[in-house]
Amino acid sequence: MNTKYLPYLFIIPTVVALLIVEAYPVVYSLYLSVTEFSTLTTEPVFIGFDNYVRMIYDENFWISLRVTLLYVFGSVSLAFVLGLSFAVLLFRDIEYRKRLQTVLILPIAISPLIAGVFFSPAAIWDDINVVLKFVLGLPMIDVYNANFAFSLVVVADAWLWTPLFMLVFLSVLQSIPKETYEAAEIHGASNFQTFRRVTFPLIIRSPVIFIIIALRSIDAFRSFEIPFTWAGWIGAESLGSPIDTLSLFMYKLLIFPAYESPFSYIATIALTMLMISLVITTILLKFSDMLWEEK
Amino acid sequence: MDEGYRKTLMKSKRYIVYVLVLLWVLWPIAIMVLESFRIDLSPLLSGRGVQWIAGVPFYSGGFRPSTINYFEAFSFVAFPRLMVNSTIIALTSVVSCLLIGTPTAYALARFKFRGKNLLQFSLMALRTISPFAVIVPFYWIYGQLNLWNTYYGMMIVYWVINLPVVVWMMRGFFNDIPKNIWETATLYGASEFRIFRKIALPLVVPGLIATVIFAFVLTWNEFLFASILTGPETGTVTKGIWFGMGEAGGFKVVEWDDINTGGVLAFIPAMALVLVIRRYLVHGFTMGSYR
Repeated sequence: MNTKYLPYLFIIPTVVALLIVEAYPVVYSLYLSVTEFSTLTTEPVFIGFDNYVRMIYDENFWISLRVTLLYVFGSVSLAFVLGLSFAVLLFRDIEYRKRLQTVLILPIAISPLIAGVFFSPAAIWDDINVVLKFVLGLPMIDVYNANFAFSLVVVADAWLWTPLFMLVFLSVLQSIPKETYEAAEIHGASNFQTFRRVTFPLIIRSPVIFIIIALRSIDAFRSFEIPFTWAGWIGAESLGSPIDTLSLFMYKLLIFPAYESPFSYIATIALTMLMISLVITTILLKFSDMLWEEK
Repeated sequence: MDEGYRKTLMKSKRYIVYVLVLLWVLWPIAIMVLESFRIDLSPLLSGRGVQWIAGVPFYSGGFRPSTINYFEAFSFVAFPRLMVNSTIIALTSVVSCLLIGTPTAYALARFKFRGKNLLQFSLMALRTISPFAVIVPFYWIYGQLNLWNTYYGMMIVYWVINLPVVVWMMRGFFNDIPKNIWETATLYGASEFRIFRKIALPLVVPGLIATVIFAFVLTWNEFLFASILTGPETGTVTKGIWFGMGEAGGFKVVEWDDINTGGVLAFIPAMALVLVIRRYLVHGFTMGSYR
């Protein structure tokens, strides 16, 4: 058999699947984004870039975009810091590492929806408030305040993804040769100095850290479930609330259409999001190619 | 300072940190489990849950453990049906993805060919696509093709999540096979398909199992696609937890106890599976590029 065409036999099924689940939705969304469904005719009308213009002038879109970017930044950086601390903690402790790790990775198995549920006002914050009020005699936290709710949503997301960062950091730490630490010790570096001058730079320079941050950022950018559950708790059902990520914004448009031809508008926003994440994807692929070359 | 004293101090400091870390991780889960057994800790925490009536301690609220929620979930609320739906959808989607994606992963790991970059880019883009760019077109076409609220429809739509994961994870495992095995096999005159079936596949069986489990858990926990594209007959666990059986849309909240009971029941299999593949988790989440 001709080896030149051989690889294509292996990839045909995937190409067909990609045409169904990727090319079709993107093309159809593109088509939707340049048309308008009039309620009178039900026939789609070509309107050019009007949907994009509408998006640019839509204040709710900008609010949601800002909320989403804050969400990404808050969640990823919090999970990064906590994951790094947990990893260092586990790395130092050979005795309990295995057992602790088993417990600490549990959040990975939890659906974001359920995480949204038990980080809700009725669960954790209920208990915290009771302790605050009756034991410490302090005022209760107003968890139903939407602005405060946003920070709690970010904490819930960070809680969910801390174990992932922890696992990545742990495997990077374990890949650092022991001689590095011994050399630092001989030169008289303290624990903290070793971490700041030796371990941390080595971790940061590892390409896998970049990959995990990029992937997590993209996922957080699309994040839906946790803000969605909170919208139910705190009654933030109108557009432009402080916990509206872009995905929740689109969901609200889908369920309670606030604009004309919501489908076209949703497709417009979704495609804009896709453009943004494609830029990150391109950079990401460069980095993952680097990883492949190393092997 | 005395050496032994210092050691004890260091140790107790370490244990305090451990307690805080475990509290951070386990408290939310513990609350869900407790609430599902109808145990509410807040009256106890307030210090007013226990009252002394004629010298006898008396609980005024909260602490009445009961398994009634689980009994209800399994008999009235038809929770088993949701579990079966979720299992069918996730399994068919993951297995079909494996059939589609494994040869591609093999080709990506072994061959250089034109269009390889485009294929990689498309797979990565699928990993990052906004769910709403998929949901709206699929909602429309499923209405036309009568695929809304069917297992086939859900199987196909979850390829969006599973296909990139399967291909990139499997590619990582194929990449780990030493190169000289291919050369030897080719030297003995084995055809490419034979090499794939008889040599490459058996070598990646552990990775194959890890991939199946990883993608299964992802699909099991997915909510957004399920909430819009499944109907009463094919509702998944995550959808059922939030909306109850047979309803869709809006921000309706079912009973608090039911949500927690459902949460525990959905969490148990996912937890077991995640613990089984914990060695491969990093591999899966970094798209197979790191171990």
